[in-house]
Amino acid sequence: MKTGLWLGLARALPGFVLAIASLMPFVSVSAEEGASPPPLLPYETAFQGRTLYARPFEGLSETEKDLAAHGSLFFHAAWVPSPSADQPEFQGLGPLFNQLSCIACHVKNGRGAPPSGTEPLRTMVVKLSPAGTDAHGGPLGHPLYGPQFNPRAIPGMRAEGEVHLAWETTQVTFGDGSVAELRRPILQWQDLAFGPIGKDTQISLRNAQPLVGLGLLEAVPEAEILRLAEDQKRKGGSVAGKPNWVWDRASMSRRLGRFGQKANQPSLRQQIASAFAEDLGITSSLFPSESCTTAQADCKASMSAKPELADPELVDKDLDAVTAFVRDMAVPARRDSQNPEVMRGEALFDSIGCGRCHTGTLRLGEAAPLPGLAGTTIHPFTDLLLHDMGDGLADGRPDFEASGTQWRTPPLWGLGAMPRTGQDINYLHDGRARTLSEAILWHGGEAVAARERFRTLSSADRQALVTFLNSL
Amino acid sequence: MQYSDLKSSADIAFSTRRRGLANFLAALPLVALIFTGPGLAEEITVVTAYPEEVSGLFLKTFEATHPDISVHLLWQQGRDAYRLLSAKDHGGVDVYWAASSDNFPHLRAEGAFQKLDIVRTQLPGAIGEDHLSDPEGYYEAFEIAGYGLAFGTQALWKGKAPPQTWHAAAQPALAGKIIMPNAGKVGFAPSLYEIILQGEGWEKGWALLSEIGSNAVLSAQGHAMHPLIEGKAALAMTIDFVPLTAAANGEAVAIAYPRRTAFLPAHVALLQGAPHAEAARVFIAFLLSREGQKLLLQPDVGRHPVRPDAYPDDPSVQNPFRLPASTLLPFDHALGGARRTLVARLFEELIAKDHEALQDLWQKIHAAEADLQQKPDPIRKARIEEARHLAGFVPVGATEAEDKAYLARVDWPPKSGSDDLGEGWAKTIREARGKALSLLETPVAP
Repeated sequence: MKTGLWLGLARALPGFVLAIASLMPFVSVSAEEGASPPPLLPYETAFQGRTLYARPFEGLSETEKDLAAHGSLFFHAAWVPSPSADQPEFQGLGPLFNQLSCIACHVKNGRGAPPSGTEPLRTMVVKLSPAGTDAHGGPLGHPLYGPQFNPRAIPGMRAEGEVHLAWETTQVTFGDGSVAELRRPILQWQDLAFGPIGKDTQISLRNAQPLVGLGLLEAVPEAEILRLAEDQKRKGGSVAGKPNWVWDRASMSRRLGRFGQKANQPSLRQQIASAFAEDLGITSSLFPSESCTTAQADCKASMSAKPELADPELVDKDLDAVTAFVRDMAVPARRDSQNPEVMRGEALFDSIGCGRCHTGTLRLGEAAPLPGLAGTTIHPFTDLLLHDMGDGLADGRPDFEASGTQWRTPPLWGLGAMPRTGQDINYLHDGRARTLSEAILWHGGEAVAARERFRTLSSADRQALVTFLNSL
Repeated sequence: MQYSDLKSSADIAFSTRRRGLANFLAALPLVALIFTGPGLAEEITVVTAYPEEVSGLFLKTFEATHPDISVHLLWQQGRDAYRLLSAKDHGGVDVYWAASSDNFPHLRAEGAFQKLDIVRTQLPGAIGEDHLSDPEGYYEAFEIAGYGLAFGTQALWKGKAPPQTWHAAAQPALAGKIIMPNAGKVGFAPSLYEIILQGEGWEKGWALLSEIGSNAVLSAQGHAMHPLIEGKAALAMTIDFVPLTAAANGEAVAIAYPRRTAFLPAHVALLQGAPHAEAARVFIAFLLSREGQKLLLQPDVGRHPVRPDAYPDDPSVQNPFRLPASTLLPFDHALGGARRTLVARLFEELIAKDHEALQDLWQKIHAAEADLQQKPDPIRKARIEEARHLAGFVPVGATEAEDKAYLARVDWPPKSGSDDLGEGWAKTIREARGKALSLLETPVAP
């Protein structure tokens, strides 16, 4: 593939130069023929290169820029076991972990991808719980493996085993007679170190999600989200989103959840701290303990000399910096929004009912990440509420007030920019959908009616709707 | 060594064919059926310092074609890696895969590696006379990276000819507009400066680095291209994959390779007593295969293959194997590896530690030189030349800088009380710079 090569030598020896940007085909993808450039919104980035998911807002203060730059180091760093002579600031990996760095799963700040075959999961995690809840109403950790399966361990420690994916497929017929293949993942465990997972265990496979616009979602007032829930309830019908009330570790109180695929985290800071703890084995003030179970004796032993809170591996100032880095990520600007096909697709999106949950417009509160954004409307295409998505997508693992069939409506902004990152394309919480059509066909529960309207659209209308989604 | 794909592991046949969306979506309640199978994959442990963008791509590609081998990455930089790999059982590690010009020869000397069975048909292990790989075959070059000056194509350097020598970064007009990676904090920086030291000669090289340093903003990160893009800096001294990957991702930067630069290798080695030696050899063979080497050309990697047959037949793609030998510095890899610590330590003493004073001194020299242009004076000229010489003074002689016993005394970071070098260096540097200032400030008798 031509775009896979860095090109563009203009060599003038002695002294020669590589000037690439102007010759790379993927640099010039922004201006598709005939399209009108969309107006740039204050929280959007116009950049259309491969790092378009990793562009900060324009207009950040120098202080915020410096904080985010510091956080970027911790986001991109490969963490190492303690002690480290070279990188004491990034020491503390594990003892059990999934990945070495945040960026390893959120590749280019975007989505992860399921493996193409039976190779290990590199950007996905598996959450494990027995039935029941903890003291705050959250899920319990698996008695042998903890809340998340960790296939890696630092030297001298026993990792938990391996998990691989296989796929079960079926075919779905559209109203016009054409056929789509759907697939769903089958987990295959290998070399389990601490005994069987157990047939009653609640298991949830999750793919890493894009990190754009999260600071904006955090700035949507709670009242705005609750108002959407009330509106949906008042309108009646099958769509009835509900908030997830979760435990906020900082304030030690119940708060509205809005981050995570089940809206199980109340703040970006807690979401990030949770990922550090569960994915990398990095403790913080919010998650002061390593998640070693009683079955994991060597893991336990390694922690015995490490009292909680005495020495978090990610100290608060660095957690705040990572939070700033993630909070400040701009949203890729829409492309071709004035294209008639896109506009027709947008009308279909609304008319068949997609927009009832994928709410096009929300209003920011005072805590907006940029001065001047307070009160601004944003277009994330999410209501940040939980919806029953049916048995087909269910993970059967409740999370606070989210049931085993409920998921938070994922934001759709930046969706169509994904191919520009050069990463594998997939959709939904576990990456099972290879196309947007597949993703829509997986919708069930409250979205059955919208899905069926989509399934019975003409091919041209379905394409228009997908074209609209790709403009986001 | 011949590379061949391994046979795929046992097929997993769970595919079903059922008509009807509702049936499919509703009949199986949860996300997954769970199968517990026998262990299929052999896991090898690889120590690396490659960033995720590189290691992730190689692992993903390798594991997709070799489902019977999984790779456990352990990320360790130089000293941590050395400590682990020089332990009795090499930490249970199978493969060491990194850019570390000092660790590989040290570990080989300690008998840490097994010999690799390299067939030289497509893997020359050298560019011309410049050996990239261990001549005895204990570690093999995996990729090479060049060193140069990056610039913003749409900012301060817009429309200018690419810089052709390292001296471009020393121009007084670029004061405050040069990015210079701190050798004590950025992994590739000691090699970058070693190229200049070998190219210019030890003392002239440090004098040039001192003058560039006085122009520079010192960076603790090796990936700082944004000052170039935003017009805050004109040039950045760098390893080439940083601007290459930035450019390939759409940023307006480019790299110029000055005269007598070098392309330096990263290596791969198989540990002695590797617990999974056979699988590790398959992994190494993949890294060195044409398929693996072509991954180095991907936009997020930006390195140069060590196999000439991995380069596309496209003259616009930089191929160091096709450069005239005279354009590159004949780099002494052993010397470069041996004195990385000394270079990092001297960079701290000469450039980083008292950076403002260094800037002040060179500004005075440049001002005096400009004034001399207007008012020629042979006595003053001699004083300014002497001041310039003293400003670039390095407290370690060229002979000592190649002396193994001397190099063995140098630590980085310096351990308190571990040597008496630092204080002595600092004293002589202060004296030299004080004398330089005195020469500049003492009026010439009428």
